[in-house]
Amino acid sequence: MSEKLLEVKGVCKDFGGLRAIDDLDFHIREGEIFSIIGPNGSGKTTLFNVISGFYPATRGKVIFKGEDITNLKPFTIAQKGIARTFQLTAVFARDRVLDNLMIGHRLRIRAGLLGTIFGSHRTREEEKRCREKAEELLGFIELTPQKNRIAGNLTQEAQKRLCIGMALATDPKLLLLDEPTGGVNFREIRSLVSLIEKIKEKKITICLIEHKMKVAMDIPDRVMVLNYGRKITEGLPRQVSQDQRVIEAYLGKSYAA
Amino acid sequence: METAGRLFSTRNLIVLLLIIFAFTIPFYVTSRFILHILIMCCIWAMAATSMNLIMGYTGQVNLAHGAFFGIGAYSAGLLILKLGINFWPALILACAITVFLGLLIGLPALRTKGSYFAIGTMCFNVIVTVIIDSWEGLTEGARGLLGIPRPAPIPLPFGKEITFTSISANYYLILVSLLLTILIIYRIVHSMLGRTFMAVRGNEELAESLGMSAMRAKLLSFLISTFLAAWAGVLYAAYIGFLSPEISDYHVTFELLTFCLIGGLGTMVGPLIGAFILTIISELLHGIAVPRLVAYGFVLIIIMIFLRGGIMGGFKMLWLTLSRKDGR
Repeated sequence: MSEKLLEVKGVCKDFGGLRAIDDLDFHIREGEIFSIIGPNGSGKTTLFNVISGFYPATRGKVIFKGEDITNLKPFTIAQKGIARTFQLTAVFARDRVLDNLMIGHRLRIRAGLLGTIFGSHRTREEEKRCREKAEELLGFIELTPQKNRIAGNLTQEAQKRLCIGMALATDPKLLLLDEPTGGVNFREIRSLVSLIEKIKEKKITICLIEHKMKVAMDIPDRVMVLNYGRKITEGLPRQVSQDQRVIEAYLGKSYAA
Repeated sequence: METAGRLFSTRNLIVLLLIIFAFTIPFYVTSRFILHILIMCCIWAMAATSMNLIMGYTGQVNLAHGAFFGIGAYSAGLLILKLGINFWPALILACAITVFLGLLIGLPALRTKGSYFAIGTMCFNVIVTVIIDSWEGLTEGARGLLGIPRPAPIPLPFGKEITFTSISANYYLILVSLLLTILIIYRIVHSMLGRTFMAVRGNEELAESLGMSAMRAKLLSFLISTFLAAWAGVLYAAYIGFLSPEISDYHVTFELLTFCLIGGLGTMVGPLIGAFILTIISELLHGIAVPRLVAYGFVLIIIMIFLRGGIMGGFKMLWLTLSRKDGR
């Protein structure tokens, strides 16, 4: 068994009286694709927000590479090597595709004020590094022909790929994808799925939230099912899809024969 | 560098010609009145350009900019008059004091977002004016600070010196300051640092998820713009020689805001155009204050409805539609 990259231990998240995540324990192994599924409102996105630091956890611990990262600020967590995308496609809509990718690598450079004003050699080197990173990723996410287009004018599917590209530009160890195929049509899903598989080949661990069963069951190595903030089950995709409790959560009791 | 090939582009040529033109003006313009108007244009252009960094490029509606202009001006005036400090160290000290106050107000204020930040900074602006107005022991209150001397001469080797007694010498000092301000803002905007500011403007959450501290970016941008506003304020104090509490008033802030909005917020040239056009108009219409404000309001409404990007935004749109037609 490979090493645990991310460990979630007894995490709870309350919104007032509502417990969105209830005493959740799971881990993600290095190099795998881990998928989280569950009905609407089961706490999947909340879980992402807790891991990436956008929501403080009410209780429990998040451990990344053996280091406690619970309740750190989102930018610190990103610097430590966890990148995420958002459910609602988020790009810098007014900027060009290339600029979007360059800014993704911003956290790996210093960009000091004095160096910027006096145009120091180091600042220029740093900018060149960002540009190279962006050019490399343009090829990877297959947006090279669109590199000078304004990001907001791209199709939904291209914007999804750009989001993933920006997250990759941060040089992550773990990539959290919140519904990478949400809102794109059936034919376009295939290109996104092959992109996710390409990322796995780069030895980047992926955790994804999915609704589309085909994506959620075909790509991942392991699947976890959430309902009302609790883990119902976890395991290989085939086992999980046969699980009575999962069928019950999705379709109601009468279908769980 | 990649700009080497574009060194002689049309744009660079225009900028170069404009700079040469600006430097040669005192040789053929002898009218003190016209030079005075140009100096005022440069000072307001400096203040508007610095406001553009926090507002246009970082997306934080800072309505305390006039206060920082006033604090810079008053700090320099007080340092020179009450402590007898030479103009040049006073310039640096005044900027440092203003940046320090900017830090004190920026740290809590920048925790708020959007309109809350705008209202918070506007309150700070009003408070500053009230303090300057009522702390008579220090600032002379409504009587104002009188007799601030022109910048001290800069000694050169061989017993020579650069003096700032003539109006054209003052013009050069302020022009160089304006060019430096533009250069600093230009450098920042066209760097990864500026991209960070613009990322925060575009989507704070996304910027944080990509490992950028939005607070740090906003505070840095806020302090740079504060520093440059103070610098403009010091030059104003030394040039005009008289300060009253109105110079830190929120009307100044809104005047600067108007320059930016009419010229085009978030563009390099917009605040300059806005500051020059409106300063020239208002100096020519001196003494008829009320119609001026009415006209301002009218122009602002028209711009906000029909030309959201200001004059520069309009040009950009025109350019885009024209070049698109050429392409097809």
